[in-house]
Amino acid sequence: MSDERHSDAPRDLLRDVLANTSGSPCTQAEERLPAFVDGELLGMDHQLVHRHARACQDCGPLIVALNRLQEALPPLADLSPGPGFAAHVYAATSRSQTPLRPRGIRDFLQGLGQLRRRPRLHLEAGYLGAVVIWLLVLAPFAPMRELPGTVASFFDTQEQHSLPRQAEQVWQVTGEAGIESVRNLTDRIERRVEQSAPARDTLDRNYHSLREAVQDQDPQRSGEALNGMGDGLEGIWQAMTGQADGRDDNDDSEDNDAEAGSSRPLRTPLNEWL
Amino acid sequence: MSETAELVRRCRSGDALAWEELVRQYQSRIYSLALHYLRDPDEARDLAQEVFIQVYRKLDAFRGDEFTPWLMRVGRNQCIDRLRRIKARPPARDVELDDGIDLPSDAMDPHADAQAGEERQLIHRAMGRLSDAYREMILLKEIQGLPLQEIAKMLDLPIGTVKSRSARARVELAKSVVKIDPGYGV
Repeated sequence: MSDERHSDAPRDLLRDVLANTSGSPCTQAEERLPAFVDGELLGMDHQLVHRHARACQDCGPLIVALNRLQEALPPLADLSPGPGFAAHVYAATSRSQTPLRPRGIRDFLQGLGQLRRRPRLHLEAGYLGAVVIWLLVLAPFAPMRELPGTVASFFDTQEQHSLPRQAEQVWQVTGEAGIESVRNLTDRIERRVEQSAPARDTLDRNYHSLREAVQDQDPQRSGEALNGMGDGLEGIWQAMTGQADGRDDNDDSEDNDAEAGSSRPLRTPLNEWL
Repeated sequence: MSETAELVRRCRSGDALAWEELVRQYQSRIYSLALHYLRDPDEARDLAQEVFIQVYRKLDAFRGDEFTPWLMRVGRNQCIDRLRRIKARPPARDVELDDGIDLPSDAMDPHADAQAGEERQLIHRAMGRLSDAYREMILLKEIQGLPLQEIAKMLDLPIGTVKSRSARARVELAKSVVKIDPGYGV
């Protein structure tokens, strides 16, 4: 940083003086360089930066670079994404699930979407609902002022036939016997599911045979497999209905009663009640 | 009514040709924006496509007069979202992407484009050494040419801050370029 008009002075004098007084002026010069390059600095400000930059090894190249960058940066906004990009975007947006809709529908859907995003929607809906109920039912001029009394009397008459009331009555009638009866029924179902296992195997085996026969396009094997599946289904039906033991569902009452003698008193009162 | 405004109006009424033209007009700018944010050509191309798809869906929501700043705002938001996701996942490559990155322009003259290619590479590398804030300022102000008011609105900053940050960013970029190539611009 020297000034050519004072070439007789020692080369480093200015730098040393600045270092011991104001410090390097480059920081302040840098702040003004963009305005200098843009031509916004006038008068003394312009001259000071100009003279500093001519002599400063750091700020001079910066001005050159800033000038060049002014021309080089704007074209960087137009970088090609490659061939076919526009067509690709056009195809993607053509497949879009939200094509442009007529104006009225768009506005309505937008309004609906914005309404759903309101943070206090639930509070507002509750408030609105309360106002509507007050206007319809509770206000002195409400058109449905008789409604609460009507609803209350309806529930009074229905109360003795309500579901909780019926469940309570069932419990009072059946007691422990009811629990035992349900337990026996569960055991019997499990036993019959076990008994149906061979028939289920038959059904499964013939199902796979049918698939293979269809793949091989073999009508004879397909027919045999279908017959086998029919046998399997029939076997399952017989096992589940008790016919495999030579009994059907009509005999279950005896089976049940024999296994749970204590449940016999249960049936009569329940049947009577039902 | 400007040509862009007319194109937007036609797009909103369902004119597919107008939409194709709008994409064609803005594809380079959006790709450039994405490339300078993401610094990866594949990610940038993918994101540019996403930006246009989102713009297509949001076109009804566009209420302003200036389409370009709105488009840039949508693009910037998508870039920032993508950057956040990229930072949350491990890098897919080990190589330094800034070196040897291909930056093709829309210039019609291949010879001139080849000459300018080295300079684009240099600037791209120099920008990579800037802080995020300065790089974004160079991108929005100097490259995309957005007005200071629009940038202030986009970044939610006072206009004075944007102005001083923009000037500082230019100096920092110049320093970075000169550091890589001391003879730059001579």
